[in-house]
Amino acid sequence: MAVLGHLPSRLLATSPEAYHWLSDPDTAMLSCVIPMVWAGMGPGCLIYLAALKGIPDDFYEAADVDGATFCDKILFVVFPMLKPLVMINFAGAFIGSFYAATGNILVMTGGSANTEVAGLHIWYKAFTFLKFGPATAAAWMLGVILIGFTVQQLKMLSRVEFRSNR
Amino acid sequence: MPILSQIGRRHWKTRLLIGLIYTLLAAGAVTMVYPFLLMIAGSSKSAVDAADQQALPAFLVDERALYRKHIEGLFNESLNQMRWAYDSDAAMFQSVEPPNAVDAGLVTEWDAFLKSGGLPDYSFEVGYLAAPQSRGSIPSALRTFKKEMEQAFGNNIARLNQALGTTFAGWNSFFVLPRNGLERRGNSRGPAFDKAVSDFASRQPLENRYYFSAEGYYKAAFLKNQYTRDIAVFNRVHGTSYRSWVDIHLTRTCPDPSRMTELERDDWERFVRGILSLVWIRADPAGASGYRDFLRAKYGDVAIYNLRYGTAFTNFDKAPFPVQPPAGGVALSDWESYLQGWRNSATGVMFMLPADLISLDTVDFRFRDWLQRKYGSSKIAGLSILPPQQDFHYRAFLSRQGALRREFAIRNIRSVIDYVALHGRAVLNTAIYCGLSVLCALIFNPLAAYALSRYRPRSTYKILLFMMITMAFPPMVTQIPVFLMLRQFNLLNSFAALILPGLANGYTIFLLKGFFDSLPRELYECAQLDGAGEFRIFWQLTLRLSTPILAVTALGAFTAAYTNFMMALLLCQDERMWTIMPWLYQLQSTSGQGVVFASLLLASVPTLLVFVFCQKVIMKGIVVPVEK
Repeated sequence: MAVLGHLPSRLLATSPEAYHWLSDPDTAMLSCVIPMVWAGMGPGCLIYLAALKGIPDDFYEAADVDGATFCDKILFVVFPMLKPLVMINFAGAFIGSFYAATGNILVMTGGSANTEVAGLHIWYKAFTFLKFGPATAAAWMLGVILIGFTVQQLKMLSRVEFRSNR
Repeated sequence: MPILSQIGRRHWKTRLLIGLIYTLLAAGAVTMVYPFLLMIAGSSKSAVDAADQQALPAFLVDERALYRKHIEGLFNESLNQMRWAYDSDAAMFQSVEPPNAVDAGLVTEWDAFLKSGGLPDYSFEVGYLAAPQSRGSIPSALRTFKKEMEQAFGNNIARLNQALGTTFAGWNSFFVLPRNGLERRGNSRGPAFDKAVSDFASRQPLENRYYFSAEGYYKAAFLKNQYTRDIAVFNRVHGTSYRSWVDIHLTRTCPDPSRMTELERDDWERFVRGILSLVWIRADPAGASGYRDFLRAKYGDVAIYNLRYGTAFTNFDKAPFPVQPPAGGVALSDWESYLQGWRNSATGVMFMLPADLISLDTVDFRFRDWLQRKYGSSKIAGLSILPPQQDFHYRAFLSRQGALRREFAIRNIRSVIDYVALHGRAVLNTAIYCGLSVLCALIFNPLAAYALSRYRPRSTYKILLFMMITMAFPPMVTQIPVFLMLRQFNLLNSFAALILPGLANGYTIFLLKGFFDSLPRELYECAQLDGAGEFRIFWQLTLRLSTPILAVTALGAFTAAYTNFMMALLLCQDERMWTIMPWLYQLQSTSGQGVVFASLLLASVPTLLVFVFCQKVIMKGIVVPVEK
């Protein structure tokens, strides 16, 4: 929220001083997350586009006949059809954010301003302080914490089948 | 667009919705493209404009920004050299301004003087020879010189080191230290290498050189350092009444006591005896007897002198007193001692070249002499004319702006290509590594998936779970054991080390298995009835039917191999096995912003090309989970 608070003054350039988004603990984490989400949007869009194309037109027509509005169609046709994809993507993003975010945060803040995530902590332990033992142990623990999500993701995956669109 | 019904499309609400969607998409596109533009703009930066944040680099449109970039490059990014040559007070290259008016007549004279060849090799340095501030960038003159050296020595750095007495570790660390022709303790680059550079420099165009101005050095580095830049302070200390710094000059000989104050004489003496480079200083032959007294006091016995000098004099009266500083060795150090003043520690007697016998032979004076010879002494005010270097450079700059813009736009990119692609095996290694990993991904993953899908072992789920769990742990967990294991196998620094850890991928096997499952079983039965063997079914049926997803697998393997940095560095620490990524990392760790951006830009080109050309395949290969 602090980001939203500072955004207008920057966009309208009312204050001459540059605002240090990445060094203020209030805004640093969100400032790290937004670019990552934004960068992941491209591939995500492709997948969702493919999934949307896979929804037969008949469904929409039937909904039209039943008098559904735009929002109704999104809620009761599109979302149920995409639900497996959404769930799988959610689990994937959840697990991925624990690992993939490490590199980006390392580049952006280096873990300062309250942004030292678990992966970064392990990275520092292993490659900066060269304590491989504790680092590996911490990495295992992280894996164990996430194993539940992995199993859940696997279960979901085993319930669906994959199709590619032509 | 079936989600928006065909009926009622022209209703204002629907139109508003469509408009809103388009606006959002356009805003998204702009925010996506803007960082890329910044990236491209950043790849043309040098130190002077590194802090600018513009999507379109200023030097492409603004003459002043281009001028600053040019001046920075011309003086090899040394602010001091610029201030001394131009006699300017600029605090940084960012505040350099083009001259208001060019004195065309004087510039023509200077041009003619330079062409008349009245100046020795040591009086100038070539621009665009080094980039110590924007680090990592190879400016144009250095690039040309490097290419010449590569051709001359057959691309063999060891031969160059041997021939020129240098110690470069490789072509990537080849550099030239710009000559510092004004300071007494200038940097040395070794006689043989210096000769090669001088030879190259003498072939460079005049507008690409800057000449050393002793007067600018005297004022900017010596006087202003002591008496501040405020002329009032100078006047107060010296008891003089100069109106501005323009009126103060370095005189050819020690200032006449009748015309200048004692302190001004003292300034001159201290500067010439202790600060200014010896190459500009000339001694009057009348100082010979004093010099011989000095030698006598220092060496005592002429035999010792002979031993040190390799001569065979019977007494010191024959010892030469060079008018110019000797080339080097003990002769030079004696000459300098005599100029600076040498005190005999035993007797306490001081030996020093009298100030009246010292004169200066600098670029400024030679230019004035030349003008006087040309026009006769009466017409020339003489003392105050300085070489119009700034005007001269500016005039040349005006006529070659286009070439400079092009040069600056791609300079960093060329530097990166030179670093990564032209020397060593980086590109070859990357190509082999990527090719092999694509091949392996296309062989092993489908085989495993086929086995799981076709024979349906009872433990399929467990096997899949096992494979997926390997993906659940952070990469740090696997990196260290993999390294240790490959070391045990003696596989480090080989392509096997790069490929083996990523040979099969659990998630890809899972995806492929799911895809193979969705192929109709009847097909397999038909094939079996027609007498096809298992391999034939696998090859002709399964793989042919799943080309899109295989293409995506191959793409994934390519990107993973291409972007692999950590493991590529960890497993292959030998430089000869490095792929592009470790090379880029090494380049980035020693480079400035411009080169880092250029290297990132260049590194993304192969993946970009792959994705541009394989768009259709990618779109086809996207698999969407659907409920059974």
